Parts: sequence; structure tokens; C-alpha cells
Amino acid sequence: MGILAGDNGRVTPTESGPLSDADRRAAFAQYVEPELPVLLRVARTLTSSEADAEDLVQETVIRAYRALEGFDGAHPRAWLLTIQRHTASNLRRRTRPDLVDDWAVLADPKPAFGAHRPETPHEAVATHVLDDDLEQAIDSLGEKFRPVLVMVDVHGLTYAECAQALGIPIGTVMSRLNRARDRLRKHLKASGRLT
Amino acid sequence: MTSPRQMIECRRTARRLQQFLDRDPSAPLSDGDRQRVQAHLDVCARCTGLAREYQELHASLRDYGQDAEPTPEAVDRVRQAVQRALAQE
Ligand SMILES: [Zn+2]
Repeated sequence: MGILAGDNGRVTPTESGPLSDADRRAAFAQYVEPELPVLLRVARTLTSSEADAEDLVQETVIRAYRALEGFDGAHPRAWLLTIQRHTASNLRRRTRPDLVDDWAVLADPKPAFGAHRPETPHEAVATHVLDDDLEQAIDSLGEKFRPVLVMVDVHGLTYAECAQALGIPIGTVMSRLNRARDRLRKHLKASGRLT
Repeated sequence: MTSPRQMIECRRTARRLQQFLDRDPSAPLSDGDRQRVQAHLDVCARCTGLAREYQELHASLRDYGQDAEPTPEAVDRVRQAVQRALAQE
């Protein structure tokens, strides 16, 4: 299965062959289910809507389920993030090349499904601690720097997990993160938000 | 008055400050580097101020992340959709 090849998340097939259904369900419950929230968070940075994010996680998790016997159990989150990244690029090719809009996750932090959705993202933002000023600053970081900042500082991923999720080296995560934070810090300082 | 020696140490600290603050398991500083950064922060008000600014920034972004936690309903929806898909195999 090409999806599991490469990167640090590379897995080694077990020798025991196919898993029984019970083993597979147990492994799924142990390794995959606990990671659903973080997969959803990261998916939100890779897709342009809440619905797309859920679709992406569903597809990711189904692929993971099928690939369970190849997984060595060592780093489930990194393994799943790698699958999710490959799945996202497959889905993007298959559908429209949407802009990746990770900022949307901040603009609409508590999507209430079935409930009223605000007319514009800005309405949802208005009540939040992050003011427009900071939002614009994060927005202006651009596609290169913003995803790293959002994944590490907002979603709490480690450097390695962020590297897995984006398919870039850890050193690149660190340098982009440093640049992004430095720009935000200067921005906040200039506008008097940091003391 | 800032001495040239201190300025060198400030620059050195700036290069390692984020790693120092993050304590990320995937890129730990060596013990020596940690101690050197800490020793400098103990005596340098400017770098201590910088560190505090980064901590404030990180804290406000992290607070925001708490609000961005997916709802239990969203997690459930995904779990159920996956189970339906797998049941059909
Ligand atoms: Zn200093």
C-alpha cells in the first residue's frame, strides 16, 4: 500500500499475517479512536470546510483500518497524520483544488452542526478573544508559515507531528515556526498587545 | 551598557530561545545548551522580556486552540460513518 511508504511513519509488516476481526477492532480502538479529535483538528487546517474535514478524517480512518496489520504500534499519531496527508492530497486531486484555509478553523472555532451558522466568519470572530488585528496578522503569514503556527501553537502538535502532517522536515517546521512567531510577536508589540 | 560579550550571548540565546521554551520532544536542546540559555536569562532583562513575549503569544494561541476542539458530536459522526463503511465490506 503506497500510502504507508516513506517518511518516518514507515511501518514494518508484521509476520503474523492478516488480523482477525476482533484483533483489528481492538487495535482500532487502541490506536485510532483516541486520535480522532486531533485528526479532525488537523484536517480542519488541510480543508476549506468543516464537512470536508470530516470527510477527510473518515477516509483517513478507513484507510488506517485497512492498513492496521502493517502498523507496528509505535507512533499512532504520526502514522495517522501521514495517512491523512496522503489522503488529503488524493482527495484534492480528485475534487477541486480548493485553497487550503487553515485560518478558517480559528474564524469558526465552535461549529455547531445543525445549529445556526453565522452568515460570515467575521461574525463568529467578533466575540472572541483574538481581535481582528491578530487575525489579520496570522492571515498575513501566508501559506508557507501559517499552517505550521496553527498546528503547533493552536493545536498543540509536536514539531515531529507537524512535520508528518505537512510532509516537511522537522528543521523546516522549526524555522518556519520561529519566523511566524517572530512576526506575530512584533506585530502584537507594535499594536500594544504585548507588554 | 551592553558589552559586546553580552550581545554575542543575546544572539546565541535568541537562536535557541524557542526550542528552550517549547521543550519539544522531537528537538530537545542539549543539557549544556539549556543551562547556557537559562544562565543568560537569569542575568539579561532584554532576553527575559523576549521570552515572556513568546510565552504570552503562545498562551493566547493555545487558549484559542481549546475553543477549536472538535465537538463530541463531530467525533461521533466520524466514528459512526467509519463503522457503516467498514460494515459494508
Ligand atoms: Zn540577552
